[in-house]
Amino acid sequence: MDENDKNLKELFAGLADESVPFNFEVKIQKKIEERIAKKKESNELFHQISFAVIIAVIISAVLYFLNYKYFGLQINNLKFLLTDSINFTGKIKSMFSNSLSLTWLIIGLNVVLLIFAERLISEKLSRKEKE
Amino acid sequence: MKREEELILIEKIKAGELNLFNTLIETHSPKILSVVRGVVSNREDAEEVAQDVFVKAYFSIKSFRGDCSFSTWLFRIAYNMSVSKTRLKKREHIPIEKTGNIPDNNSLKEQENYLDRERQYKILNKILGELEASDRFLIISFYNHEKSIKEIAEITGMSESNVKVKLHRIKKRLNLLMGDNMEVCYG
Repeated sequence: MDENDKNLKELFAGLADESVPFNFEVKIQKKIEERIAKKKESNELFHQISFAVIIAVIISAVLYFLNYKYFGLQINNLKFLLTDSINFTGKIKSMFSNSLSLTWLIIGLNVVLLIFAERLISEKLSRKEKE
Repeated sequence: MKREEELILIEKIKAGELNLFNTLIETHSPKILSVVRGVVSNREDAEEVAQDVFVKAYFSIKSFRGDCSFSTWLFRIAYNMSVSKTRLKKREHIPIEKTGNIPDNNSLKEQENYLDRERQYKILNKILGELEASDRFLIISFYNHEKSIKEIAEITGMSESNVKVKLHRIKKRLNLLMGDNMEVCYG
């Protein structure tokens, strides 16, 4: 370090401000706590989303299994139902009282039951996490 | 705090004793604040950045392997954060306040020296304001915090020769612009 360097060093030392403001540590702690809370929240959201996806997959699998084992519905039939049966000129009644009504009723009940179970379990899990 | 003691402390923090992190804040906050203030001249912004440096350090302390000093590691975070802060917010140069007080009962010669020093601070502030944020960090780390060229290279991710060249250019510019004023003060 030459003479010029020493002079510059002295000048820079005069500029240095190493004072720590009041509450500096407390503010850092607060920021850390906020980040931890945010992380927890996003983790919880991720868990809920993955849980919902898993439940959706299970519901789809159950529906597929029920259809395969008991009902044997064809996609063509469903297309027929959607395109031809849904018009509001008196065919709605026949839609609910035809030979397939019971099948759809069972499928609907299953879906409701599974959604209810999913809500119940996810609420229980989130309560456990909070505790 | 000695390096060995610091490494033991960091190991404890890594193991889960996160409340010990306060000791690291206490030890390193003056230096980190000082270097960030040199780059981000707005005081509030600088304090915000310095706080974020410690928050970032807290969450990534497990990635600290101890192959450099903890101070160097913190300086690296401070470098990245303060330089990107100045990129985000175009720097309005507010002079860094000097720490000296005017000598009142001293001799005329001393008072003259003080005024020369005042002028030098002004020039230095002006030059620093014209430098790139990364260059400001470089020169402040070198002179204020006595970081070696090797350490500065580690902090900034530049090669040692690149740091040397940059420092040489900045010093040359500083000496050129402050040359006459230096002579007045230091004879």
